Amino acid sequence: MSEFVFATAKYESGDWDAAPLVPANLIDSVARYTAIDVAPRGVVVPLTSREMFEYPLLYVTGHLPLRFTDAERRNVQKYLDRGGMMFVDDHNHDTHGVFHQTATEELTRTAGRLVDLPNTHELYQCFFAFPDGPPNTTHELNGWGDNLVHDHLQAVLRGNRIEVLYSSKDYSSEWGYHPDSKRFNEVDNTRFGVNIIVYALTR
Amino acid sequence: MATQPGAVAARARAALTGAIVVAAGSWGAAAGLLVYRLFASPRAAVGCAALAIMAVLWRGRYAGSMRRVALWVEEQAPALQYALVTAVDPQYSGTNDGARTAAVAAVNVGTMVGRAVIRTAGVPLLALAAATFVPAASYRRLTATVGDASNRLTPLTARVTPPTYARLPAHELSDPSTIPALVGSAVALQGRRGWRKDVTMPASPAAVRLVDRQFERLIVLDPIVDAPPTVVLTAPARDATIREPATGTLTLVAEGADDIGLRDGYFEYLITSGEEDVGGVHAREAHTGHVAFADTKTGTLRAIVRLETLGLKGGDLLSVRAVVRDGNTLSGPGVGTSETRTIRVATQQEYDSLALDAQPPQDVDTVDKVETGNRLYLRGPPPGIVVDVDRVRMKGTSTPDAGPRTPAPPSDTLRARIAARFAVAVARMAVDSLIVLRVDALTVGNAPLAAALNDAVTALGRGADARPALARAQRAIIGTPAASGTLSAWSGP
Repeated sequence: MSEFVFATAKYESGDWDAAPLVPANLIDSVARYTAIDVAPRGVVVPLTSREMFEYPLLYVTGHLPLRFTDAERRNVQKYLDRGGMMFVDDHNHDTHGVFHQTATEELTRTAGRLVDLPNTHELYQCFFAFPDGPPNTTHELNGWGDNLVHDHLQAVLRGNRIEVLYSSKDYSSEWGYHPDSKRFNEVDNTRFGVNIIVYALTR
Repeated sequence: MATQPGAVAARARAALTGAIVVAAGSWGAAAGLLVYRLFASPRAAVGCAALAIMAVLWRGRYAGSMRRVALWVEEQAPALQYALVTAVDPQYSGTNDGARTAAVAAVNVGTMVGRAVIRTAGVPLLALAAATFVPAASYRRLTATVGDASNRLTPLTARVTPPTYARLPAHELSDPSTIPALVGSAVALQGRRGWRKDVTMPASPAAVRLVDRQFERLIVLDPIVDAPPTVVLTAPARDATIREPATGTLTLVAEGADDIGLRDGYFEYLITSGEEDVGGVHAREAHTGHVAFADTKTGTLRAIVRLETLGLKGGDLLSVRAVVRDGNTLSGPGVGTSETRTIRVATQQEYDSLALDAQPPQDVDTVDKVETGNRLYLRGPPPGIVVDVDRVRMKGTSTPDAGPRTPAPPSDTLRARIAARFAVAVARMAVDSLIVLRVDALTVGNAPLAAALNDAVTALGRGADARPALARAQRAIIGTPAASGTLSAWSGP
């Protein structure tokens, strides 16, 4: 069985590389908590490439407008049709921000309607238990961005399976630190990232 | 045997009344049996039998009247010279009986009445026997003949009037099994003897069920969805970086297209300024004036933007895209957007190393390398963190709490359901089932399956061999074997 490789999506518009520390941090967490074989280094895959079909989960983030080119859109649709999953996180943590407004429009156009994901969804139970739904981030609690604590994540569902997971909670900022600094946290805030990866690999 | 005129008349009345009763029962039974064999409807059979009995009894109602019977006998035997009528008339009974008795005795009334009884009861008894003993196959042939002649659902015509915005002419289809038309079209179904049914083309495939007495027919409504327009931004051809101050003109050109007709279009641009860590990112949107296309299928959008009017500063991003709309006033308008081009205004600090102009499309790799260099320059090299997996393996302090894992449902249950229903449809060779199945095939967008089912229905309707079409349908359902890109489902704990 091949090892899991964390893949960050590279798209033409915007700043796809806005959260360079997140991949290493989540790779570290997968190794800490699970027995999943994981590659020690993540990869960056252009959304126009065929390489993206080798990765079951794609991480998409940024601050600037997210608008796919026609080639990117076709590839993403094919990727989702083949069972891939995308985790899209608004690095602005701002529902009035350009990333949110363009990304939600683009994802609706490319993958389908985004709906509120129920906090009882198995995503919140598949490894660590999050009975209250998605964990809040310090950025939300400090009132930055849109000054909202978002109760739900959003998703494009195929049946009950998540095809695209969309977050306005800015996990990209929350998890954007060197994994060696994790030892200073009383509670590891990247545990929800483990759930996302486990979900993508098993559902 | 007594030859008294009164007794003769009474016997004749009894015999004729009995014959009428037997005839009524026989005609009723024969009619009921015939209707039941033809239409398999007990209610209709009982109704017809009752009607036949009542008709015969009504027609023979005078057989119970002595005077009417005597008159009928006198009519058959004029030699009686009204002797029998006079004899049964209470006003003249008891007078001149001898002469009347002799006159009645001279005529063989019994034979006359017997013939009438045989005529009256014999024919309906023969009809009842025929209805009882004719083979069932003859009834089926008769049913088919009668059915074809009286089925008002075949043939029919469908007049399709597209929605007004499409500006397409109305047209007629002759005896269609499927009606393809734009969503929202008015469809008028008309058949023999002046019946008419109006329906509106729905947004998803559906079947119209027409019923005429025992006849039934299904017509598939195959909606053609008005596709949203498309637009391709041809200028600027690539993203670009320009120097500050941003002056001059930016020529925008886009080509729009629509399957029905374009209404209008415009260019939309978004200017983002600032930095995340220094006061935040701000955006402002604007658009050029709308250009009307007068419902043409293709159109070109052109605009020239004077950059100095946009107030661009170093570090700003100008994102441009084209937007076109079609004339769909029913469910639209459909909106199409082009891909986005981004023009970046370089900051003063980057001038020593940066001199980029828009690149032709064929230099995508070069542009990509330059963009990567640009990112490295602006953001520095990405941190090359390599996680020491072995060192941290299973050293986490939090305890996982994995919930029960349930096996995922089959990836394509809809296809499996259609396959099962298809097997049933083939087993029964039921045209209606295949038509309904075709509606589902159209709904899920399986065009080869829909076409094959249409051929099968047509072949079955003509009594031709439908097996090749059914085999194609089978192949369209099963599809080409393909490897799944997803992991297999987990089993339960």
